[in-house]
Amino acid sequence: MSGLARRLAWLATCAALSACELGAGREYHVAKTVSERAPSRTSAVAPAAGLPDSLFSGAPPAEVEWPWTRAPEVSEPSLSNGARLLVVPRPGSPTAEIAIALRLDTANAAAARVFAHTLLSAAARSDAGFRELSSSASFGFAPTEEGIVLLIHTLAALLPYTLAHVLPRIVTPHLLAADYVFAKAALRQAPQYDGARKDTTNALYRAVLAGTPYADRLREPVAAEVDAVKAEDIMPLRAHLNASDVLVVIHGGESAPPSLVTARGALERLPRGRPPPPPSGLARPPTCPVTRRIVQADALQTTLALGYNTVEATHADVPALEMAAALLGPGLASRLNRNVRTKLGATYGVHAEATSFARAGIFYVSASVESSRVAEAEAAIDEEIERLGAEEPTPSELESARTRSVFASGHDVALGLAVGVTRGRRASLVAAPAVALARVTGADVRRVAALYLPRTLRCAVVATPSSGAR
Amino acid sequence: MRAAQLVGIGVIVLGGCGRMPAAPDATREPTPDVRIPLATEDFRLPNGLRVVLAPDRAAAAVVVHVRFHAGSKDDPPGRAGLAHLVEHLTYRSSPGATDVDFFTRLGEVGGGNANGSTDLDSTDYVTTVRPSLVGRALWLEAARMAQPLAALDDATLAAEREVVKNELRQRCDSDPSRWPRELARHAAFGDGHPYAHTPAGSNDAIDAIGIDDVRAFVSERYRPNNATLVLAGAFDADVVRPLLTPLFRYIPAGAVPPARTFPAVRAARSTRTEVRLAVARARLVFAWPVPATGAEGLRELDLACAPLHGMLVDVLVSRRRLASDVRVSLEPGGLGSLLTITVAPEADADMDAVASAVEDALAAVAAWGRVTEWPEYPIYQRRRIAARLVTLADVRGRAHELQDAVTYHDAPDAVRAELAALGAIRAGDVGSSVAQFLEGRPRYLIAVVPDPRAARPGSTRP
Repeated sequence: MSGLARRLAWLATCAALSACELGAGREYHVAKTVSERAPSRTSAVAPAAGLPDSLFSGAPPAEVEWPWTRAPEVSEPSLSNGARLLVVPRPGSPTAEIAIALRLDTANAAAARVFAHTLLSAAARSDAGFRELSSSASFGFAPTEEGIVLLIHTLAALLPYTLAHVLPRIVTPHLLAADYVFAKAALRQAPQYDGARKDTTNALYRAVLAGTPYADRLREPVAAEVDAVKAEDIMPLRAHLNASDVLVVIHGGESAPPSLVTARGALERLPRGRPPPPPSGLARPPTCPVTRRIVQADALQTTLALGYNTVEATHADVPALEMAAALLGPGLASRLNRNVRTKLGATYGVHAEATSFARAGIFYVSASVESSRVAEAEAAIDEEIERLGAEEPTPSELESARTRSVFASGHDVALGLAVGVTRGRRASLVAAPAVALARVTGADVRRVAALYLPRTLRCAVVATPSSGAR
Repeated sequence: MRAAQLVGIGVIVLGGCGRMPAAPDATREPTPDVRIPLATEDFRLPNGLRVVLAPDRAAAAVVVHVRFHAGSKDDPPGRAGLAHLVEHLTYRSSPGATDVDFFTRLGEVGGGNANGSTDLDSTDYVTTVRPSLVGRALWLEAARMAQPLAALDDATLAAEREVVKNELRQRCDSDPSRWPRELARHAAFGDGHPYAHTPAGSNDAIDAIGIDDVRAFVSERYRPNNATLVLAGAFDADVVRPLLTPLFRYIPAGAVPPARTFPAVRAARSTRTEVRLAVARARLVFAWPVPATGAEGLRELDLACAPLHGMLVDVLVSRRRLASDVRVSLEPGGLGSLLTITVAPEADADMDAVASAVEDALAAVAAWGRVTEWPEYPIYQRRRIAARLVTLADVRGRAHELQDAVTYHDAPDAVRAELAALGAIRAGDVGSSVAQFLEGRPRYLIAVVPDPRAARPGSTRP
């Protein structure tokens, strides 16, 4: 999977996680009866010698009974200064995650990354205790269109220590110039610093979201932009370490551990900030049909990216758009992969995602394609998207897409909650994606595909190798 | 069926692993007590299929992980990439049908995630489903094992060749840190060694693979007596055992070729090979053949990678600005492993200075714990153990670790033993291994020089 595809897959996970519509603590049963559906079997396989005739030619085995699966319970203690702390216990799980979302409100993505690294560096410098902890936890950050999410992945047994001794040092840091210097050096080393395909993402987002604040905020910084960041670019970002712009998600451990008191105390020491504007969507441009062609010096084949302007995260159509993306792109049973990969053999994989931000959204399809077959692949993608707007997907397709959403990792859940809530979604609605998707019907999918994904509204970026078609 | 063998108490408790210091006070990191359910049963069906069960009722999903002990080391001469192409082709059919692929059928029976992977030693098929669908996932995998090439014909082979070549361009040749390592691998293991090429193979070899090659490979290697089935996650062993037995027991065993053995590979003298390619940036790859998985010294080298990387980043990237990127990679294998240091030098960097810095770093790490103090060693050691535990905490990672334990140690319980062994390594042991296998030892150096008139990366793959 390419760097771009990895990023897109990661973003798709975030998007899927922000689609949930479930009351906190409600139970749901994931074992639905599907055995009565007859599998398609148009070209039968003769049984191999020695195998009973009916072993594989009959109906699949029946589902087994399994206890009810409980949806995650999300609680949100009330903090005196209005800071937000979301707690999602996972009793029995050996690992835990802490996600710290910082709404930096900056168009300078490179500065945001340097700032995130500076915070991590400052926390690491604090004392030997953190250094000890760093032996049992991993730290990272994820850029979002609203800012940065800092991520701590640790063992559940170490969660109390992390909450008591690490969280306070991140949200109320004591920054030194050395931290900034270290952060820039670390970014020079970070893998995401050096990747040619980010150009494709940047170009498509600029085209699709032209005229919105997101057109530039979404850009992944390239090397020169990181090098150009000055200390004075990041120092103003410290002002966002306030109760309005910081949100913390604790995913893991027992419910209400004593160390939660320490975490609350750390967040309640934050100064009050300016409340974010109420979530509201920006007006969508009536059309954005442009095609941009760019050249990637190091590329060996063509990256094809198609984008459509959609809606903000709190819009009622978001779950249906996410279901549309799940039907089209992720997984090799999805429609685009069946056509463009399995039938045509033109790509290793096609990816589709629906991502919605606080005030706008994008539907994105991408594939890395052998350059001489771009037109063929593009036509197949267009045809499949148009079909989605004309015919309702089958119940089994919908169910398969829902099932895939059940397997999010702990990391995905914590990150998805931090991102989704920062974008204005209710926490309880973000924690169990399968339930939100369960409410989406085939008619919903057809309607949103016809409304948001017609070819006349499509933007395209075609990134070709410098040597032309292979 | 052989009587089920009980393998341990089924959990890992980190508190008893290694030499973790007790927490002296509340402000210090406590010693973690982590309980992870491991294998409870390890048995074989009459046809030789090995089955490992690792139930965990707290998990949200169940993982059905089938490993065939056939990887790119088994690619015949001139057919590099065959094992990987076979992995792709087995997804083109499904139980009872030649024109409904595995993924579509998985969707029809309730859905889930599935993926395959091929490495040097084995080919893995991993299907993750919700707990109620465990029987159906087993049904899909049994059908693959019984008739892996049901859909094979000239058209499907041709289409899948293109998919695989596309994957190579996308995942291997476009990754500037990956393909130079392939060149180093070929230099280190040499022509004729099964590890001289990676599972990727080459475009020419993939084009040369015919239907007969595919059928012959599968006929020899895709046999139940050459496979291990691991189930991990949310299932009840008493329910699953009677489900899987009738699905797999009729699949006939075969005469699997005996595993080949090769003497340990060591570099006789240092070499430097310059490769001119149409790429944007230069790369230097330093490579050493090192002990095989499970052999003495490899765990210590694994522990050396992180501090070595940290030291090289500090020197080459942060302080001297000689490079923008450094990777230290240990690629283990049953016939031998490869340790590489890949440097992306700055445009005006002195290559001799880079090489000297690498040698200096190796000398420093070799001295740690033996000649000089290494107070930070416990941090690196605990970080490595924690990384293994985090992998084990996820049912997919747990299934993979159990497969590796069977492949390389013939016992799923080796997962626990490996963690204990990792915890018992002393700082001086790490330095000794670096001195024994890396510091001042002959190594292979691949220098990739950008040249716009030269070939693209994929065209140079051996």
